[in-house]
Amino acid sequence: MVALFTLQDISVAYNKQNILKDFNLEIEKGKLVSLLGPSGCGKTTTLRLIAGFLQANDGKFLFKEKDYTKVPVNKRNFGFVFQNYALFPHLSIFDNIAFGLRLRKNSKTEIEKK
Amino acid sequence: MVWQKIKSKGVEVYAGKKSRIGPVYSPGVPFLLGPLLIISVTSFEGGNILKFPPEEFSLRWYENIFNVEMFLVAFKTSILVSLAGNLLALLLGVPAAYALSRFDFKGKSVINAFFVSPILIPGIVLGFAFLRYIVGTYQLPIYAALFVGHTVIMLPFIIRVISSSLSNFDFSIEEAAESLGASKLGTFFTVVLPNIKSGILAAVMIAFLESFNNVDISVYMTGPGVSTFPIQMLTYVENYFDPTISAISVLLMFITAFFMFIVERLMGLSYFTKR
Ligand SMILES: Nc1ncnc2c1ncn2[C@@H]1O[C@H](COP(=O)(O)OP(=O)(O)O)[C@@H](O)[C@H]1O
Ligand SMILES: [Mg+2]
Repeated sequence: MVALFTLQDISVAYNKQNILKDFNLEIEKGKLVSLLGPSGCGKTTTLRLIAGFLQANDGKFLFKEKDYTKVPVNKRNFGFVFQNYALFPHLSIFDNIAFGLRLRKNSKTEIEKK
Repeated sequence: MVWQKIKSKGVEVYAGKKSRIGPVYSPGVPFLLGPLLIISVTSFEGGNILKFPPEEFSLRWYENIFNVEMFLVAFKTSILVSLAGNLLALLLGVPAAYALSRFDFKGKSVINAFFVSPILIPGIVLGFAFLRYIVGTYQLPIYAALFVGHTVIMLPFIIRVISSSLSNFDFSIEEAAESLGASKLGTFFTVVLPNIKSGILAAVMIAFLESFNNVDISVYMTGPGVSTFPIQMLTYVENYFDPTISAISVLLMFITAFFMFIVERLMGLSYFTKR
């Protein structure tokens, strides 16, 4: 079976220090995967890379066999749960929830239904 | 705030205690407020000459402000220069403050120092530099020279106040917005700006006061027929000795106090002490 997510020879460096080096990972559809490791080993870095907040110095990221390496965050349509909740303090609860739905062009009635 | 070590049941507890510095500086208060008080009292003088104590009570010099043509013209000039300069300083200052708060890059502290330098350089020196280059070398017309000069002196205030507002901003919500489908620019306008609204408003007001009350820069740049309000006040006292100038001073004090009150309400005065 082909993998849903593929990380190919990914390298990430902060200040010329490699955090991830030639990292490979394949995740199949429907699998629940957890990344385990000591603090500072690069778990968050990997997730931020998949979400698109971070660009790899080297290597490729494929999603459904398409090259997603250069796709910007807002075009990826992935969900990301932040370690600190990251709510918008200037918006109401309803608007906080509706924020993403509005941007993805849901109609108003549809948003309210959800 | 002074931190005091309190021993309770063998555990060391540090508790904040009100500072005792009050009595130390309170003798200075009359020196600060005294002159303002005397000016205020003299503004109600009924006679033709500025003196203290006043002999009769009258509001006629307040009325006189609005009858002096050159004050009205200079007032308009000042408002125009301050508002236009403010707008440009905002357009330059908001992105600068954002970049300085959001990113780490080489030479950041140098750029920071560069933007704040107009506060550190004595105004009279800065004004002379402007005279040499803006008015001298580049031969800008008076309005343009005032506009440029005032933008430069407002910029550091804009950047400092907005930076201080951004220091309370959690940048991870930017990433949240992006992961929900907002573009980088869209995120800036829908998430960052609404959250630093009050900081921007405070910055605009402080910069406006700084520009509107400025003498040392303007004095080099004003020329025949064009004067800012404080410069016009100087010209006035050179020629007239009536209490109009006291009346104007009282009005300016009230306007300034009112602005500072709003700023204090918007974000406290912590940006004066924060780096
Ligand atoms: N923005 C950054 N700048 C420099 N170093 C970073 C940055 N983010 C993370 N690191 C470093 O990268 C390493 C991996 O971090 P991270 O992926 O957050 O680890 P964790 O597995 O605990 O989630 C850590 O050593 C951390 O110090
Ligand atoms: Mg982590």
